Amino acid sequence: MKRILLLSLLPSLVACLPLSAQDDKILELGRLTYQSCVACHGPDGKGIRAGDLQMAPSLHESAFIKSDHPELLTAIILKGILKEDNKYIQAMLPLEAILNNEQIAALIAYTTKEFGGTRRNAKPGDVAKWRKEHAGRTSPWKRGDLVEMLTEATTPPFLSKLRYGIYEGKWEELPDFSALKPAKTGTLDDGHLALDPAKDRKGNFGLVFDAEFTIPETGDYVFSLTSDDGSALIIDGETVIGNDGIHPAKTVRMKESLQAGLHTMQVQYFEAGGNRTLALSVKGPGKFGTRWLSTEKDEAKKAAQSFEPIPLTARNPGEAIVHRAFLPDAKPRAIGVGYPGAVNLVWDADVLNLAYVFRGDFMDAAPHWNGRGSGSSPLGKDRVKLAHGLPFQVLESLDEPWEPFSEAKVKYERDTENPQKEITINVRHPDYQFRGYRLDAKRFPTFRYDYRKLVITDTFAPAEVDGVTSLVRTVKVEGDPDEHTYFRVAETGSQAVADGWIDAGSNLKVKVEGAETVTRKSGGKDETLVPVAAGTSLTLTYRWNAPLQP
Amino acid sequence: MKRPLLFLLPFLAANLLAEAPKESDFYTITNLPAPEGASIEGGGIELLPDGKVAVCTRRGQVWIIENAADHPDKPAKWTLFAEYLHEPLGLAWRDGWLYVVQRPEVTRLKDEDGDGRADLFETVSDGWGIKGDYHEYTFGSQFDKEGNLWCALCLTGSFTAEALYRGWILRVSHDGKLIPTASGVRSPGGIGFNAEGDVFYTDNQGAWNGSSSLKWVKPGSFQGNPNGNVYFDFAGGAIGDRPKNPPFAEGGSRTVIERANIPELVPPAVILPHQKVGHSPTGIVPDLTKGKFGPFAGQVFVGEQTHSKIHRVFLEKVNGLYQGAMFPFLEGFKSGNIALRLSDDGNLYTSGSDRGWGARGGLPYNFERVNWTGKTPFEIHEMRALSDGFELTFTQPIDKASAVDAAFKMEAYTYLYQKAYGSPEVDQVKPKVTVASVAEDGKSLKLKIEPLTKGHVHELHAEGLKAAEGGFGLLHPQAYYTLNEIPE
Repeated sequence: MKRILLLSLLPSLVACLPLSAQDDKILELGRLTYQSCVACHGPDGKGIRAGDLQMAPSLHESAFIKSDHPELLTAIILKGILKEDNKYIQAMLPLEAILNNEQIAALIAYTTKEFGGTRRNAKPGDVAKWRKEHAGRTSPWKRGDLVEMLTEATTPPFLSKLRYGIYEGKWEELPDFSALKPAKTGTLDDGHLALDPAKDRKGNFGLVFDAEFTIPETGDYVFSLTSDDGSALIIDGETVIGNDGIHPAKTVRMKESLQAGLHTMQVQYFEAGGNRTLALSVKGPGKFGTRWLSTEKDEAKKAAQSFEPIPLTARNPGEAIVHRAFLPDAKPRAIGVGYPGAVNLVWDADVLNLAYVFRGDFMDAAPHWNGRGSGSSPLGKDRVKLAHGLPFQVLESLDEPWEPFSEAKVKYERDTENPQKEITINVRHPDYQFRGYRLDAKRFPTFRYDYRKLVITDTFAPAEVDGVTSLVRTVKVEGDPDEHTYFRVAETGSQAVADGWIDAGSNLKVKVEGAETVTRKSGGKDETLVPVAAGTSLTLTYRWNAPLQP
Repeated sequence: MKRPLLFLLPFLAANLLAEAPKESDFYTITNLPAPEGASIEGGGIELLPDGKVAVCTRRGQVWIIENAADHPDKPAKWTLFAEYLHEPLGLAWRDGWLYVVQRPEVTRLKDEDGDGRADLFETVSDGWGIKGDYHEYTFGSQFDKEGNLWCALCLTGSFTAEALYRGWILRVSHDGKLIPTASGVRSPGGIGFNAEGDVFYTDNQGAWNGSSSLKWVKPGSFQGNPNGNVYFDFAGGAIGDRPKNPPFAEGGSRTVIERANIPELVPPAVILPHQKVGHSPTGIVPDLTKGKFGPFAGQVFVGEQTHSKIHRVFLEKVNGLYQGAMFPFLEGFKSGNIALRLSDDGNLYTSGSDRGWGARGGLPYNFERVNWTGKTPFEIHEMRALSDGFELTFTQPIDKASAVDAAFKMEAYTYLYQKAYGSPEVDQVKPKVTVASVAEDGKSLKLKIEPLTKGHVHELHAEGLKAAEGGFGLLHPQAYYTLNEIPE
C-alpha cells in the first residue's frame, strides 16, 4: 500500500473554500449513496440498536471517519469488515460490486462531513486507482488490519535515513557483505524496506539495508522477519534474527529488550532464484502496536498461516507408517497407521482402542512439523468412528452402561488460592496399562496392553473382502478373564445383521468372528458386545460398502 | 555477521587487533550436514557403546551416526533407526535398548530382526497427562546412577496444568516405575546432571520466572511456579504435602523472601539473566572429560536456543544449596541448540531448531560438534562466593599489575517472583569492588564486595584484567553469580 502524505493543512483549506454547486452535487450523491448504509449505521450515523447490541458501530466515533485517510475509507467500503466477535450484529458487507468510483468518493465526502466533523475529499480517479491496488484481496478486512493501516498512515515512518546497497553474487547463505562492494547504492525515502531496487534483477543478488530508528519507550519489542530466500536482522551491530539459507517465505520472530532512544538497524537479504519476498514488522509495548517496516506484508501474513503440505507416505512399498502426533477426534496419545491399499486408522493409546478408520491418502504432517506443531491432519475420506472408548469392561448385568473414557475432575484455576472451577482431565484407568507395539516385517504394528490380569494384543491388516479393501483386526486375549468380561465392537448404527455383517453406519459394516455377539440398547445407542473367555481371539473385519472412489 | 566497529579502528594498534584471541582459536565448531531430505531438529543426543552417536528429532526421527567424531575426515554416515515418534526430547541408552522420551511416554526401542530399524517400541511409562497442547513438552535426561530417567514436564500453554503432573519433574526407572520428584516447573528446555550426578534443569523466563535459570532438582523441591501443585492430590505423598502458595498479589515478592515462607522452595541455582545472556536455556551436560575438552573439567555446559550459543556454568554448594556463576562460552551455532552431549573423549555434540521459537543462527536445524583446539583461553575459571566477596581463579596467570580495583565493575540485582510474565531487573545495588589479594602464582585473586546481597545476581565485568602472557584481556570478561547464600 502506498503511504499517504499527511496534509495537515487540508482541513482548514477546505473549510475556507466556498461551497460550489459542484460540491452540492457531490454531497447529494453521497447522501443518496449513504442510503445503502442506513439499515445498519442508521440515518444519523449512530448505528441502529437492536436490544443490547448494535447492528453496526457509530460512525461518529470511528477513528477511520475522523482520520484524513480516504484511501483507508475506500478500502473499507470496497472490501467490507469481517465479523470477528459479537460486538456488532452485522459484518460490514463489501460494496465493490455495488458502488462505482464516483459514488464511493461522494460517500466519503458525505460521511466525513456529516459524522466525522471534517470533510475529506477523494477524487473518483484516486478511488479507481485504489480499487485496482486492492483488486487481489478477496476477503473482508479484519479490524486489526485496519487499525494497523491507520497507525501506519498516521505516524511518520519508523525507519529513518534508510539506504540500501545491491550486491551481485550466487549464494546459498548470506555472504559477508562487508567484504563485498555494492553494485549500486541508494536511499528509500519513505522509510520502508522494499525489494523494488532489485526489481529488474532475475536473481542472484543481495540487498543490505541500513537505517536508524527511535525507540519511544524502553521495553520488549518483537521483530518478525519474513524472507525468501535468506535474511538477517542486525540491531546496534548485534545479529538479532537469522533467517538464512535458501527457502520459501519463512518468518522468524525474536523478542528484544530495547532502551528508549536511537538505534541502528541493518537488514541483510539475498535471493538466489524463484519467488522472492522480504517483510519486517515490529510489535512493541502498549500503544506502540505493530509497525510494518517493509512495503511488503501480505506475504508475511500468508507465510505465518499456511504451510506446504507434507503428505506422509511409506518409506518402502507395501509397508505401513506408524505416526504418533496430536490427531483430531482422538485423545492426545493418538497413533495414526497408514497401510498399503489406502486404508488407515487412528489407534488411541489413551483409551487403548481404535478411534476411527479412514481411506485414501494417509496424513499431512505440515501442521505438526511447522511452527510450534499443532498436530497432523488426516487426509483421505470415509472416516468412521467405532466404539471409541475403553475396549473391555466387566458387566455384572447388561443394564450397566459402558464407560467411554477414564477421566477425573479437578478444581483448577490459575494463580488462585481457592479454585472453584472444575476441569476434566484424562487419567489412565487403573485396569489398563499400554505396553507399546511391535512392528512386523511390513511395519504393521501389533499394539499391546494389559487389562486387569489379561494381556491384550490388537493387530490390523488390510485385506480384499468382496472387492473392497477392508481392515481386518485381530484382538487376542491372553490369560484368564474375570467373569462377565466383554469387548465392545460397535456403539452406533442400526445393528441390523445380514449375512453376519453388523451395519456400523456411515457406510461401513463390521463382521465379528471368534465369538458370539450380544446386542443391547444402552444410553440410547445400539451396542454390540462380545463376551470374552480364556484364549478368545476375535477377528473383526471393517468393510466399507463400496470401493474407494478416487 | 557483526558489523565491525570501524570508528574504533584508529584507536587500536593494527597488530593488536589482528592477534586478539577469539573463541574459534580455542574451540572449533564443525557442522555435520543432515542426510538428504531430513530435518535434524535435535531434541536429544546419546552416545552409544559402540562409539556411534544417536540423535532424536522434533519431527520424531531417531538417527544413528557413524564417524560423528571424525567428520569431515571420515564423512559421517547417518542411518534412520526410527521415525514418526511424538516430538521426542530425550534419548538414553541402557542394556541394549534405546530409551526415547516422547511427549506422551517413555518408550524403549530395539531392532530385533537386525535390519537397522527399530521394530519393538515398548512403553516404559506413560504415567502423566497431556491435554493436546503443543507446549506440553517432555524433556528427558540420561540414566542416573540408580537407573532412572528424569523427565521435566512443561505446563499446558506454559501457564496452567490442565493434565496430570504438568509442571512436575518425574523419575522413570528403566523398568517403568514412576517417581514424582519435584513440582513448580514452568517451561523447561533441558534436564541433565552436574559432575557430581545431581540433577538440574533449565526453566524459561515467564510466569513465576523473572529470568531464565538453571535449577537444581532436589527431590521433593518446589521450583517456584505453583500452577501444577494441584497434582499433589494424585502423587500419593511421594514428595510430601503440597507446599504453600507464593503470594498471588500483583507485584509479587522475591524468591529470597518466599524461601523463608515456603520451605520446599529451592531458588534457581544459577540465573541466566534474561536478554543479557540469552532467551531460552536448553540442554545441560557436565564436563567429565578430565581435561580433554579444555580447562573446564567438572563444570557444566548449558545450551541457549534463541541466541544459538552455549554457556559455561560453575556450581558450588553453600549452606546446602547450589549456586554459582554463568560465563559466556561459545557462540555462532547455525540454529537454536536444544540437545547437548559431551563424550568423555572431548566431543561436544549439539543439535536443535528454530521452529516455533526463532534462533539467531538462522538455519532451521543444526547438528554440530565442538572440539577443543588444545589452546587454553584466558578465562575466569571459577568464581566462588566468600563471606565478604568472591574468589576468582583463572585458566592462565594474570598480569598482577592489571589486577587493580578499577579493572572490575559489579552490579547486583534480582527479579520479581510473581505470577505476571517475566520481570525487570529490580532492587539494583552498585557494590564497591576492591581487590583484596592476588595469589603469588597469579592464578587467583580475591575481591572484596561491599555489600554482598543475598539472593541477588552479582554481575561482574573484568574488562581491565590482563593475562600475564600476551597481555590480552579475558576472552569473556563477564560473569553472573547467583548468590543464594553468603558463606560464613
